[in-house]
Amino acid sequence: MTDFFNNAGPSPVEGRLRAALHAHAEDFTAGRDAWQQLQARSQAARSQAARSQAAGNRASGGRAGGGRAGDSRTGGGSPARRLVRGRLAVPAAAAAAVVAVVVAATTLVHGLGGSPAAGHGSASSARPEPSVSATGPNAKTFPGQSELALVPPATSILSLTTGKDHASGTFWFGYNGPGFWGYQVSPGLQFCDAVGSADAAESSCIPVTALRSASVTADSSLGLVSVGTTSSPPAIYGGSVTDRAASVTAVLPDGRTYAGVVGTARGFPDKAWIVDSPQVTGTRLIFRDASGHQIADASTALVQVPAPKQPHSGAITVLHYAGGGSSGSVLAYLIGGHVAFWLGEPWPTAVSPDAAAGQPALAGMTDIAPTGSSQYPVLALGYAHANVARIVVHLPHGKQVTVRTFLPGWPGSGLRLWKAALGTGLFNDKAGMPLGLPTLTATAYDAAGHVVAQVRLGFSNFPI
Amino acid sequence: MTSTEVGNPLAELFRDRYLEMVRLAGLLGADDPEDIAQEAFTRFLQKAPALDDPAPYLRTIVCNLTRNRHRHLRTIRARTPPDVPEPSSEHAAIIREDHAEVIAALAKLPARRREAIVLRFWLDLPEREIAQTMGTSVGTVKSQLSRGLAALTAAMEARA
Repeated sequence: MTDFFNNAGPSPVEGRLRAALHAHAEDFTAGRDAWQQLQARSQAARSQAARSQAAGNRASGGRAGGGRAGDSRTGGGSPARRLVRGRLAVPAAAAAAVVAVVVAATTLVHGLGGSPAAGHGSASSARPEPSVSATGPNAKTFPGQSELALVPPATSILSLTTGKDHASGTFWFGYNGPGFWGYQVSPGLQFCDAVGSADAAESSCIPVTALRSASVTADSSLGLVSVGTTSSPPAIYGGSVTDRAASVTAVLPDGRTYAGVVGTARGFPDKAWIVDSPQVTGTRLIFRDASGHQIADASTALVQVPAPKQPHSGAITVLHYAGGGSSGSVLAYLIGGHVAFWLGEPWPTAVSPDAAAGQPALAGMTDIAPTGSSQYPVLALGYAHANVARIVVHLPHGKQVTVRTFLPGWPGSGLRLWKAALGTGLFNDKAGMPLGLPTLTATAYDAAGHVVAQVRLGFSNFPI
Repeated sequence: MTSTEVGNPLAELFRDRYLEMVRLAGLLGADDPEDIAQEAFTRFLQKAPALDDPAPYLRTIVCNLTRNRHRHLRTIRARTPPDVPEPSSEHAAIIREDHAEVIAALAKLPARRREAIVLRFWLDLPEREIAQTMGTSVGTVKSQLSRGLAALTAAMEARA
């Protein structure tokens, strides 16, 4: 989740943290002649660049630049050249198609709220009425497709829209799919949302057990503005709220208010909501019940998503990596019968969805290797039962990678581990843009060459 | 603060964003925050990318430069006798006593975790924008924030 809210306000730690950061920031000031210094520095840099360019031309000609912004190794680069992984963007064309599908398939509506709140500002007086719709669990195309593939819905899929910027939210509850190696061991029922505009959405899932610690949770996504404008994008918030809620209103520090919409759908244990407003620091979200009583005043307090703690012992070093400015180790643990990979800081954990001792005798997942490389090499990691000697991973276009399993050393587990480097270009194109979820299969063979199992490889927390 | 050129968009960018970048570098633990900000603007001006909102790009440069500077400082630290005090923004700045332990705990976080915390709780950036600034995924940002907050909580509780 991008932002989580609760009606208890920020935790004491967050409050102290914000206060300390703002106070400490005041300690840093700019020199009175900073602008003049910058001009001189820029002039010197331009001169240096001109000399380098001339020298390069004399030698063999320049080469194209690249790399990360501010990276002294490459001299900077385009901000668009970065890894974009599944949660961030929904292609505009796909999103447009989705909206049509969801609206056309409306089967259930429990719209709540939506009328302008008292004191509604003029900026929002012409906004279209919020709307709510819901579909059965078979809709296949809408914002949040990645999460839908990983956490298939066990309820109807609810769509909420609001505002002139066509902010949209898609919501459902579901359980981890068989191929999803998530954060948690057996997270149970999860609430999923995809919040954004018709052009882009941000989506994620959170266990319902975590929802219970807060009466409101939220994702947020900045709405997109037309190319060429310089106006700030609107902030779009959406998430879950206790089923007592009937309305949501964004209240800006200057008093302007923006009404959102609260809705529910078949099978929902909690309600979902969405609201959009100008992006202004200090905006609060007010939730009211059907009687108009305020039941939550949301602030930006993060909900701690439960994740397994890294065990103190039992780590198996799967591999070491180095490159792209980072290095570390991938470790494996056996936690509650599940195999969990620690991909190295700051990458998250990936926990097998099934108990490793059960069937099938082979399981694995793919993720981008945590090397920091701009080439996005893909790694496959997994486990197999003791009688599996080698694994063949089948790649697109008939290619395959064969690796041998190795003994992890967990006494009595009867498990072996395996790892495979699958090369680049599976998840991202050369510009770093996501290509979609690859469907890779792997086959396990015993020492005699007999097929033991064949499975589709799963994905860790954030595919693409 | 400074005198700049009226009507010059780059000057206006400087006026609007320079102090923010100085402070961002400072909060990230740069030994010379203004030098980082100067270098960030210099690199930005060299590239002068056509961006509707250049602030995220500037923040990315500041984060990367500060991180690189940390690597440099670690190298120096390894070669410096331990009893020689190192120049740092934390030591140079006067920190209110009631915030000192928070800032001290923040300084002990790994660089990427500290970036996520500062971008989230000082600039109030949404996680998506933090991810763009740090050049990483939203999931990684979530992880950094969660673990960073847990570390800060533990540090503060230990002192309580």
